[in-house]
Amino acid sequence: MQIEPLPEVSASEVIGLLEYLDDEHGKEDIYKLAEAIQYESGELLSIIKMAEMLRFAETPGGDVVILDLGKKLIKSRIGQRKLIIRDQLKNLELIQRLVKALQNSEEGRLDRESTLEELSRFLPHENIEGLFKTIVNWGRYAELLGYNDDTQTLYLDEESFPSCA
Amino acid sequence: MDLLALQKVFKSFRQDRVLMPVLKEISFHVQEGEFIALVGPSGCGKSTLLRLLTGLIAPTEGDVRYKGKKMPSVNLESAMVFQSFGLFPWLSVQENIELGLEARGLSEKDRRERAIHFIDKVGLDGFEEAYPRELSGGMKQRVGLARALAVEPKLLCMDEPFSALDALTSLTLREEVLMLWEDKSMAVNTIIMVTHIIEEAVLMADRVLVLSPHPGTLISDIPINLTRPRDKNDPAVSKLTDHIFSLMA
Repeated sequence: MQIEPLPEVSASEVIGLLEYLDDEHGKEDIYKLAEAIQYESGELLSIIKMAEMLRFAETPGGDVVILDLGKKLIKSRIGQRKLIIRDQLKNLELIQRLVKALQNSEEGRLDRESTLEELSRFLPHENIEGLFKTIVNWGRYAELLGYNDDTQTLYLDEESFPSCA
Repeated sequence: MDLLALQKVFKSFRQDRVLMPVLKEISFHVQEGEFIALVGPSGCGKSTLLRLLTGLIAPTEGDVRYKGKKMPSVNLESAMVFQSFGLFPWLSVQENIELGLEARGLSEKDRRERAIHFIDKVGLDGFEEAYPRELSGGMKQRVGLARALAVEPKLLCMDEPFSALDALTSLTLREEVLMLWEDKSMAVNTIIMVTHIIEEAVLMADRVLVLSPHPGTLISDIPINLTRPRDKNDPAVSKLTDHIFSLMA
């Protein structure tokens, strides 16, 4: 399966996009959307890309359309949103490979440098530092991954992986 | 009984030996459970008014009463959320939230439990050990929100809480603040929010108080009797937004 990097966007931006689409009866022209929210098109396309990767939206023609799972996400309470996002992140090849690398490591932990090397192997042409930060933020939000900046250690969150804690 | 009552409140600041009036003859009441938005152009004294309501500053003249009593100093049943988040960069998310509780005399165990509870409420679980530099703007403001909620205030004051955020993040945070306000398990049930975005006030609040500038004077108190969730494309929202805008123009 092809490994795709995570676009450098936040969960709040993706949820905000879905809220916006919901207000617009589920669909908006991408060009008009960029104008309405005053985003650079590259920035907006990254948010849309992430929403697509998580199966919350799709982009037929020049539009972005909210999918049923996206609607379910924004109708959910704060805690439930995290669970939905966790399930979707787990389907991504990059996250699966990283989780496997952590599971194969000692005590389910990898230091930052080893993780960056691992990511470079999967995605040699990416901005690895930015990708690492994005993975940590989404991993924390979904309580899949934890990261301690003092010890520079990435680990499997006990919420999702109780046996690794 | 009113939760808050302001009677002919004036506030002036001394600048170069000259007394500069910032607020003039402000009177209004707030009932428990209300969501109030304060709007007005820059320099109309909105943020000063918010500080008077929490007892951070005292009025020059007039009366600010909380539950019928004059506030002698800071109102410990209130908490504030700031536009610029106000986080300590050297403390983790959990430590930032616990800090306000330490000042209120809670034991270490109670501080930890309380912080974890509110971290969960605002959706920050997983970020406990993160430092502010690692967080997006939306997550930083969730920390500001959790820190304010953790003192279990009756009254939550928010000073332009979404202004430092991009459009999509602020949309998410607005919805989440409304979810928290409607959550019956929370101590806080009254919110007063300063904003310069009129549509934001109409989409969120029960009442919009409109201030005019130099010095700030209350020119209108507009009830928003629209059911939630509100739709920004609803003609009633546009009509109210236009009306408030015309009052400020």
